[in-house]
Amino acid sequence: MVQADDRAIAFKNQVAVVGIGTTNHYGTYNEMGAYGMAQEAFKNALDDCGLTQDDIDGLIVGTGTGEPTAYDDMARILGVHPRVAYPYSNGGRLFGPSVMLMASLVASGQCDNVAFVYTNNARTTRVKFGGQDEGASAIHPAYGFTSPGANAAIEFRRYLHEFNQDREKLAAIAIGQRKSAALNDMAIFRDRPLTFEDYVNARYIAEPLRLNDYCIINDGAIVFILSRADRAKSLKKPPVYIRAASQQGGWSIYHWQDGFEYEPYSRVAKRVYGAADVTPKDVDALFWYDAFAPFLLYYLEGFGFCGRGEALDFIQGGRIELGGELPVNTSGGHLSETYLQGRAIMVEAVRQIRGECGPRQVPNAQIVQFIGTAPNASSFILSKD
Amino acid sequence: MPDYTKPLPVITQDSEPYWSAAKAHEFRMQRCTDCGKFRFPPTHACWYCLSTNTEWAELSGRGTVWSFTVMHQPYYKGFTDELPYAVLVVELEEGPRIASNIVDCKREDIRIGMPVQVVFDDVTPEVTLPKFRPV
Repeated sequence: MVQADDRAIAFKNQVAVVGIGTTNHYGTYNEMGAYGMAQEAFKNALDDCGLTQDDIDGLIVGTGTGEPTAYDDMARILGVHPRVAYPYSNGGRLFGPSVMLMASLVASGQCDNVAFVYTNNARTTRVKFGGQDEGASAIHPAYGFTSPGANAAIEFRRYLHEFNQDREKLAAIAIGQRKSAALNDMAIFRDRPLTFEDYVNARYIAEPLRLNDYCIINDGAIVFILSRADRAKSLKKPPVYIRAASQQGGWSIYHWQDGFEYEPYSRVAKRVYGAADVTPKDVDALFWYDAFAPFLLYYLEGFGFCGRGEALDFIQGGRIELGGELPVNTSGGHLSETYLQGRAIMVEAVRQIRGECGPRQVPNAQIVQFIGTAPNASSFILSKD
Repeated sequence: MPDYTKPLPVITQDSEPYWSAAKAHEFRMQRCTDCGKFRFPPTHACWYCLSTNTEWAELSGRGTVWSFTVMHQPYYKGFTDELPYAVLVVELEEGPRIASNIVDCKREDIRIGMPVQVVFDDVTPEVTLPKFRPV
């Protein structure tokens, strides 16, 4: 099936991220609960931009990770009366698409200020992302096969085989992001430096993936607010424009398709770079959905940062660290800061454009990109102007 | 085998013929009789053409290891004593890919591309799991 490849949305000059708010820390929130965390993050997001509860005329509420959250209850306890409100999956691969949806609500004139409310108490509720009831795929538990990480491990082993690559080159991702986390007071692993020795000596979870190739499981909440670009300039912080967004579904049985999702990623790349009028060379920092370290390889290749099979070499030598050619997930990301299913990655991307990242600021960051994971491949580009 | 503690497959209306065949030590999957394509796991209609005209065709049982992982983390109580254990994705000769376990092979000896053949493991009086052994 062939679908048009020019269908990215160019939001330039129409939509801006104006407010971001997080819980005051990430980790455990066993007393506050999912709704309490959301209230804290929402208050912080309003304070960040200067808007009030009454200004929020669009509300998208995550369905919760751990404790379920309902959009109507959430609207009530946040004290908002939006014209438009939707529940929305907390699922990580739907994060990129959620930004596209919110931006579309603003660009189409439906809303002036849309808030996305995401809350997750996976740690307190002991979510394991494996071993649970697997529903329609309930054949797999009989073979002891479970967890997104095991699927990622199977795909990565196949990648190593096809490109005859050295498994230990993957270490550069976990180690590089841990260095950035050391500069981030919010990072859960701020005080846990990671050497190559530490990395290779850590236990396997699903071989060939080791502990530090996996994201953290923790609690936290994030709220971000998108507004009409023409009104954004009068708010507290400089607007961060959404230049373009696109996505491409490509569902199959888990990650067992050939090609490491190159096809959906390269299609999203063509659309989003075209609509934003930029190329990979213009990207000052890359923000990626790092549930598992190998995903970065498939993004880098699919989006054209390097050639196919070359990503494990591309990431060596500090290239993806602060000070390198393409810093990635400068907060530490899901691997070292907090796993909030893409939403905290967005917070860091916005702060980089605003110049708020202090010791981990990428100098003169003008254009940053987010890439979200297949099988619902997505990307959006944020810019200063 | 009352002491079998591993998870058992959830047998649904769509998958019942698959498990009945396995119990009879036959390896069968759905093939659409309109477009001719195999599909797995079982579904009501063909996901290529949405036809519900389906036969349960017997497969050769031959395939190759597409990839595999070795599980080190305890997720299911019944597997804890076997940690670490391998999970394979086998690409069957007829096309579908299936997750399973390997028998008669040390996990250190598993290789991508290795030819394998289905075997049937009668884990309980009611349930037989298709697994694979090296050829």
